[in-house]
Amino acid sequence: MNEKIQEIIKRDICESYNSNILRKFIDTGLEEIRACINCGTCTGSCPSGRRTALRTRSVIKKALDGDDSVLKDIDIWLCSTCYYCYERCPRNILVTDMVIKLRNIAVEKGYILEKHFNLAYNVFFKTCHAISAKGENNKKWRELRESYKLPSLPPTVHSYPEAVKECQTLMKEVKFKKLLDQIKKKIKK
Amino acid sequence: MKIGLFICGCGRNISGTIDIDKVYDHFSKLTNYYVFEDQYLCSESGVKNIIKEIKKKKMERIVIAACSLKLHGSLFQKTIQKAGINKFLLSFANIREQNSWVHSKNPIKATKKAIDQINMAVERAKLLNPLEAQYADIIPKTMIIGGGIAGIKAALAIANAGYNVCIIEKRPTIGGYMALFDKTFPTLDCSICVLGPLMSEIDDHPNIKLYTLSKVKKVKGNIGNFKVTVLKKPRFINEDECIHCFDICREVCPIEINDTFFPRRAIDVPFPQAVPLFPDIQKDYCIGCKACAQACEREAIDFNQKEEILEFKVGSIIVSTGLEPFDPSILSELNYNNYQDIITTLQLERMLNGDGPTNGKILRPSTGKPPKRVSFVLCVGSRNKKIHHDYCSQVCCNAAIKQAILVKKNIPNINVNVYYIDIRAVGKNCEEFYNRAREDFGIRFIKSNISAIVKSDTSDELIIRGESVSEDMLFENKTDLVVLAVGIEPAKNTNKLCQILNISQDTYGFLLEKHLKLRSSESSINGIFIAGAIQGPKDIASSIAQAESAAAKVITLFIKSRVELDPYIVYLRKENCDLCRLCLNICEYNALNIKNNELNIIQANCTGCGACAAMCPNEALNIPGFTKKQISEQIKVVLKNKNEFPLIIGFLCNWCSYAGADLAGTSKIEYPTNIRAIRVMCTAMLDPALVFESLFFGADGVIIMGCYENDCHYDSGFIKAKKRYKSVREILIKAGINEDRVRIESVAAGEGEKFAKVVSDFTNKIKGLGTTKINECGEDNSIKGLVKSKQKLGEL
Repeated sequence: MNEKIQEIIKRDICESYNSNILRKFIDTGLEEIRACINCGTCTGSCPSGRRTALRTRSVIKKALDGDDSVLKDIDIWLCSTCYYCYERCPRNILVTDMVIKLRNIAVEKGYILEKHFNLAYNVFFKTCHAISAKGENNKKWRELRESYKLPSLPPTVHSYPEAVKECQTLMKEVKFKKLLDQIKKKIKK
Repeated sequence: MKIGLFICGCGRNISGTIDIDKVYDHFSKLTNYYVFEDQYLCSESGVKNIIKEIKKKKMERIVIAACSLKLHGSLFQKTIQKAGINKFLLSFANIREQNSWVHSKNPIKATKKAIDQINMAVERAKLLNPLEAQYADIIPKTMIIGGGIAGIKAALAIANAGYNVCIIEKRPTIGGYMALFDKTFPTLDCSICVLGPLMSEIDDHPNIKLYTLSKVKKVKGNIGNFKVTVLKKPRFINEDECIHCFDICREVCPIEINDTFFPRRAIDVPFPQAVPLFPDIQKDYCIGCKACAQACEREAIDFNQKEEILEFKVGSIIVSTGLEPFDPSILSELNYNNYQDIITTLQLERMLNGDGPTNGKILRPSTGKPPKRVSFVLCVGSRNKKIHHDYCSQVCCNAAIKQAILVKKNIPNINVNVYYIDIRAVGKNCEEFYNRAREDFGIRFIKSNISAIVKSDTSDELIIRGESVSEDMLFENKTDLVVLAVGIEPAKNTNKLCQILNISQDTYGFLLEKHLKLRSSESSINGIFIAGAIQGPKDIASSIAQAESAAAKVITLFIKSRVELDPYIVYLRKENCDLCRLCLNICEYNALNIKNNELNIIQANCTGCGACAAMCPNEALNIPGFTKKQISEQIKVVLKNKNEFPLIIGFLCNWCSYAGADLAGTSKIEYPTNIRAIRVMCTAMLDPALVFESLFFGADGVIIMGCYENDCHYDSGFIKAKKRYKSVREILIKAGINEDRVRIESVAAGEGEKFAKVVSDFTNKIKGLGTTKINECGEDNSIKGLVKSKQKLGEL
């Protein structure tokens, strides 16, 4: 299909649905949601939903209707991205990818749990590693490495502290830092 | 030469996209052109107008710019014949299916393309010669493949009209799936009580000959005269001696085949109403004890029977091989293979049937006790893109509603739940039937696609999980028996049968009809008709309607007693032939031979694939309408006024890809305007020199589209084309041209979507390559290339 035509189709659909969230879905190529026939397979298959309040189909439906409240909802963070719904959807909708996208949109709007924010801030910007190898708590682990004749610290930023700067530059370059700062401001408000 | 050009606006179908006035102006300025436009050329007034103008202006060649020639080709042929012109002096520009319907978002380019298409058709028309239509006698006999309800009804209709019919059935009995049902929806009348009398009528009818346990192995020939080879498996029963007292032989048989739903002995009849009512011996189970042979007083059992090969000569064939129920094992979340109490609608049907394994009682297979709760799960294997079953099977909703009612009638205080996505109670009286299920029988309908069926940890109950969509709630419901309403697939081995018959399938494997609405009971090949669920999911009533429609077409054919054949077979210009014998090697039909230093054509054997014409270095052999000169002129006229980049010349095989391109049109699947399609009867008739010519004259890419290797209308045409394609690429490399500018693809008649995708992909690819550079392929190279191509082809 011609790119221009695709543009027109996308625009038409966004206008007819009148939904900002939908526009963002479509911009990332998730327009398959239009094929949803509300069969309930996603919710029914969801192992997280069996124990929590997450109702996958309702979440997607709200997003489709342009209901912004879905972004504030804690439900979208309860998905464990196990891909059951994705595998079983009879319409080939990329359900899990859509939940992830919804989270992205939520974060952009400043809806994020403080724990998630701190984790993201620490891992991706402050320390640039996920699991710390330093400190008294990790001594056993370091000894284990040594017993295999490996250096006690892994070849990550632990061994190359100067690389932290590089990672931080990278995060600034891709505007992740900016996003973090914006969220920080919003949380404070 | 006076050329009459008739442009159709087709309401807004063509004129909504293509600027007809501009096209009209373009051609009316040219000399020797008589241009006319009409809103509907195919209407009565349009046709009359064509005849009037042809006579008035004394036109010599006619070009119709309208829909596909596959739709109205014969109408316009007849029209110009009425005007006194040979009907083969007609050329088509397909500006609807292959232009306005697929380029609706790009009217300017579409208009330019339409002018190109008309120019091509004109160039082709200029070189057309009058031809004589060929006629062949029709053998007034029909073969019906598959003896289900569709085959039975078609057979009776044709036989009652006085023509001979033979039915080829692979099972030991006719009757198909309908014979296994208990009741039919929405009337709840007994299935076998309706079907049984029809089956015996088949058996008794003087014009019908029935061949059970038989399979079609080979089919050759054309409409009016097919030669069919059938393999008949042994029944091990002497049918002249057997008097249908099947109790005696089956009682003594020690081998019981313990199928829950289809129990039988090694020698047995499938069901008591079977036709023919002979028992058959299942060779895989029989241990050869011959107890049955001893018990049979008539000595009708014959263990020495062998497979037989039968030869038939028939004038037409009806394919009614029917359906195969979907196997739910691949949907692992439903656990069909793991728990006995999960059954399919067809298996429940066996239980409901008084002649079935439980004598009409509904029992849980695991315990043998009646269930208290039954759950129906709909859309199993239907409307599911994951397993490439995007279609709705049409009958499962109604079938499940029927069964739910029968279950409720059978066990009145039973709890029946039906889990559905959408209820499609389509058909006369079916919605009322659905209402009765809710109102009168108290069956609960829950909108939910079931996510999983598991076994309870504590009891032998099953647990159904899902989301009730209307209540936005998750549920886990306990149940004793789960019935999966399985969808419909085409009969097993349909692929193979289609290869034998050379007919096309749609993307799901059902048979492709000539036109979904207008010609739904005709296959892609003249003389072969389709009936019943093999064309697509259908209920009994629709199957019968289609069967009788197919029968009507067969009778129409037979009444005429002779049939007109396309005159598109190879013609020889003797003075050009230098007896190089290249053609002899490639012809697989023995249509050419050399006697007394002269090449002869055996017209009866020629199928018109044109492989020989493509090989001929001197243009001594030609297929009328598709000569090298004609194709070459079409290429030249497009490239002379090249108005688009990239410009791609497409060669489409008449049977598969051209039909596929038309399907993309009727499905309104958009693709780039860059392709200029030239119809050829077979890709085998394409001379590689034409591919080079296209590139040398400025085409940016060439795409050759044909059938799949096994589906080729001319057996091995596409394989021949592929071989040539390989050498074309090698030569292009030597000539300094990027070999990726030429591509070969298989696009079947049912693959409109694939056609659009292939064209889009190829256009993007060529965009990346840029224009074909002239300094890379100068005139010298072109001649060298041609010489090499000839040498190369000689080696093949």
